[in-house]
Amino acid sequence: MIAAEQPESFLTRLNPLTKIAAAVLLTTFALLLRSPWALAMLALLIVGLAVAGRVRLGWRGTVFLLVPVAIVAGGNYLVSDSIEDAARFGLRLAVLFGGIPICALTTRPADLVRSLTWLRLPAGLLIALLLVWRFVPVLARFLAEIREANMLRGPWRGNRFRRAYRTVIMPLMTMSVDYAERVGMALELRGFDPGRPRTWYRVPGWGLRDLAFSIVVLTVVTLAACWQWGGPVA
Amino acid sequence: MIRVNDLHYRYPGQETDTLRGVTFAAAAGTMLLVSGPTGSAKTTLALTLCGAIPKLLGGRLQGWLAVNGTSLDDVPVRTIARCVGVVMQNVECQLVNDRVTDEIAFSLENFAVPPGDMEREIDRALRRAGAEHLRDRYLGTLSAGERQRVALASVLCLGQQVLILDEPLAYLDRSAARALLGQLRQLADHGTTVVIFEHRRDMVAPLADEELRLDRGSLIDVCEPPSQLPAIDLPQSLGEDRLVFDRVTYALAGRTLLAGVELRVRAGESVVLLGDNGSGKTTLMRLALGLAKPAAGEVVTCGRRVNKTSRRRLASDAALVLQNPDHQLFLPTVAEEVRATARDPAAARSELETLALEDCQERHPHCLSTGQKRRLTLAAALARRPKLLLLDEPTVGQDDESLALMIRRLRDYVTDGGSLLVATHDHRAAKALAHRIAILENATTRPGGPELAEAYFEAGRARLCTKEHV
Repeated sequence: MIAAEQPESFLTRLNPLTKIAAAVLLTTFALLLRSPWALAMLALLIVGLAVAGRVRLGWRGTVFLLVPVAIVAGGNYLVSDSIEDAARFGLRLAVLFGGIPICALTTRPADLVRSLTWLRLPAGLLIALLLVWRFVPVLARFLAEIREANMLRGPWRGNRFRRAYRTVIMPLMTMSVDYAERVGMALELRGFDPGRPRTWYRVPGWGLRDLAFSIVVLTVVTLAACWQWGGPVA
Repeated sequence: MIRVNDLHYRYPGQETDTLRGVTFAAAAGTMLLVSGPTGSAKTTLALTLCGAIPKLLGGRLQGWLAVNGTSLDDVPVRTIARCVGVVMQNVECQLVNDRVTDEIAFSLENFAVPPGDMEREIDRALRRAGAEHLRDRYLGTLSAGERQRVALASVLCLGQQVLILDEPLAYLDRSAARALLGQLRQLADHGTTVVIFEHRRDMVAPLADEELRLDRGSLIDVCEPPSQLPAIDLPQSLGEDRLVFDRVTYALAGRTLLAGVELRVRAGESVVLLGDNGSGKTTLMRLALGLAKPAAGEVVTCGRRVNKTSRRRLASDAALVLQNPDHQLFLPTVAEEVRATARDPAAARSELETLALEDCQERHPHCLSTGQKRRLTLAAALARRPKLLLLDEPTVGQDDESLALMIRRLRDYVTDGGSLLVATHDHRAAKALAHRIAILENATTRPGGPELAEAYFEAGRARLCTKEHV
């Protein structure tokens, strides 16, 4: 499951830095808050955002998120015999496991890199970041192709570890180095030079959408904090 | 526009020159075809013309090379990139963004074009590359032909006077190839010097103004290669079924690729699978070896029901040679590559000899030319003595001589009782190898005899834009 497979939604159109700030805020408060009701507010916010943003997790992603939460909550209940403790740890984990992945799933690498230009990072570093990000699915594809090709080669004699080294690890390294060399050459042939000034076609700005999103997140976090530490709603 | 005089080039660590005394000139607005067999140094010359050799790849370059009157000797690659655009053999490595517009803008960004001017330049480049309809797409959703167009647009946006394309037709079906060549002809007519390095000269030559032929790094006289390969003999009798598709349906991401497909390949029979890019040819081959699962229907390979049999067991009787040879070559030498899964050492030796790979037995497979790599993957597959052989685009990167070698070996394989299923865009291979034809279109197969290949490619050629018609 990668960002490119997610449908367009208000979450994909947000400034990536807004989403990062929200994810950091939710993560911090998930660690600070102890009240299960306050943590439930944050968890509900994340579920609401995922539903409204039409985030596709797939069954594997859903299992990957829910199983650890269920194990932690169930384990805590068995050890402490306290529903409150079980809910606290389960919900905390749900917020930790939900906030950052939703942010990552709805942010395209190119958008993130372009938004980082606000931080005035060197262009070479940003393009390198973009390429590293792009390389992850490429590496996964190489591995799948190598495994498939191995299978197609039919029965193979010899030691299993030696075989894995020669038929999986070495080809993966060769293909990765070859790919990196070709990409490097292609970049230079397209005029890329990290030492030269460059412009950016599209730099994500802050708009009303980001403002509305920030208000919603801040409101829920404030309500959750007030619930725990007292205040108008406590 | 381009002047090359007595060019010699030697790769680092090699003892002989790869380019040997190449001399030619191409005027502005010329469409130049550089053809030649595999390993003839077409890619080396392409990389030299754009400055990658020797500036990025090292080695020793002698002779004189100028573009637009300026010698490339002391000019940095970045400056050359402003007037010479390159579309590489593998466009995958050339594309670094995920949106089409971002990809085209990347070239403009590198030359610090003001963001306000970029939209106009992007639109113009998309128009010139015939890719306006792809503007809002993501690269991950594009076909091979569409990616080629985006790569072309990302080069054209800078308005270079020289355009170099290395094997641009390699993975394109007849309609995508036809459209791309038409677009390139138009660019040449508007003053761009277009240099196409391509072994499918039959497709490019009718549109090109000039042709250069390379052989082992030297220019030689252009001569018409034998246009016809001897056709495969029709078998006297056919044996048991080796591959059966019984009303097979397959869908991917909500799109039905195959709907109730029926196909049968018997012992001693060769079937050629034709169809445009994305018609499902590769998928059909993957289904035959259990690499994909049908939504409905049944596939029986070498007497085994595919969904009830392990893939390893299927692969012991049937062999699939993939489209990209790089993904099937793992071992440190050519000889080991063939021996690793060969039925016996004699089979490995015989395949290396028959497919003219004897001389490069000790070389690393990744150092071979594309054509040699393809012959190597074929040799490795045949050395296993499979009952059923599936070949996905086996002719990419093959010159006429190399292709003839492959065809001869495949004919012997079929004559000896092997079953062959070949997916190809190449009319020479289709005509030479087909006992029967199956055309994949509209998610189903249209079966027929060898005459169907003739009709299929004639229909394509009739629509092929000739120079006069563009």
